[in-house]
Amino acid sequence: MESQALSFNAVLSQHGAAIARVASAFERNPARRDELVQEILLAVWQALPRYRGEASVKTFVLRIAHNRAVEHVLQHQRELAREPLDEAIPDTRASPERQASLQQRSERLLDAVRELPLVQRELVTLALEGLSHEEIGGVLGISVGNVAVRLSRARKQLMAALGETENVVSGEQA
Amino acid sequence: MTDSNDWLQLATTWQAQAIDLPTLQRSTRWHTLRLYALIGVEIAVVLMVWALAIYWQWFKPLPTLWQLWGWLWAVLAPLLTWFNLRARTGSFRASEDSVRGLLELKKTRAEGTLRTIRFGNAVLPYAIALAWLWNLLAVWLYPPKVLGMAAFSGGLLVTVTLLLWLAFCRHRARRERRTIAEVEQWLQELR
Repeated sequence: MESQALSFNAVLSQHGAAIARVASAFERNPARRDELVQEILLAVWQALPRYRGEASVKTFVLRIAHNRAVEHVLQHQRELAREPLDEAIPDTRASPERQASLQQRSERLLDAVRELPLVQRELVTLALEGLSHEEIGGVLGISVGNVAVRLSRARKQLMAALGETENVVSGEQA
Repeated sequence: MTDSNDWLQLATTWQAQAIDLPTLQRSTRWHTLRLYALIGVEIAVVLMVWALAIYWQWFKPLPTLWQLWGWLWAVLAPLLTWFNLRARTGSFRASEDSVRGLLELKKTRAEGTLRTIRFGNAVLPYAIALAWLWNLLAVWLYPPKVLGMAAFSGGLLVTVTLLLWLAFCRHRARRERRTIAEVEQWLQELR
């Protein structure tokens, strides 16, 4: 059974990156982001013995990550509103040119995601992680139909924000 | 390019954000170690309290009141530690519930805190009156040699402490009301 084979280190290796991405979508400040990642990992570690395989491990982990992120936003709402943009997460795997381009795209995407209202941000980050509408509905506690409608709206808003960013960037370059 | 292609590209960009996993693992190991160390310290404190209570009981170096005090803490210390550990292990948190469930839990907790604060505010004048009654009674029954401010220090101390507590509660109530408003707005968005 999947739950019996689960170890924290395996979960960390497989889903650590997804957890870090969730944290970076909800927290700009690097120190507090690290704190949030640790909070999520601690919660995952504590919840693992209760995992019974009802959902995929990824959904299970992302559900905990999102719950912790929402708690974090509730606790630090005022600081979060004042935070300036920070440095993006560097990509250490690609060649320098590709790395620069990837990093630029990642940065723009991350900024656009961070600008979304909380519920839309959750929908978008879960969808970007590759979760189905059913899984997103399970994580957020809303119906599949509701997910479809809201996600479509959130995607449009994200695309619009990215379009604006691209226009600003190309304007600056010109 | 179609919308779905755009979205796929975005998902790829999103998932391509590389994370320094070894650093993350190191940092997690360090946090876990700290957590265990903290649990160890708490258990050590409980054992120390028990040792002290047993020492006071058997060797009686202090009056009986201290022995009772020791036994009271011998019971309270493990209870408090247990509550603390339970709170930290996430048993008081809805980590596996949906975000909606979590938000509703947050709202219920904030409303509960507000109710407690309201109850505290209602009881506060009686607590101050009781403190002064006790102070005046003590002065009347055991009159001090010099009747100065010092004779009323107990009542004054309780009044100042409770007023400071009231100010803190007001601040806390404002924060809880703000939390409820925010959570309600998010719940509205999820409906």
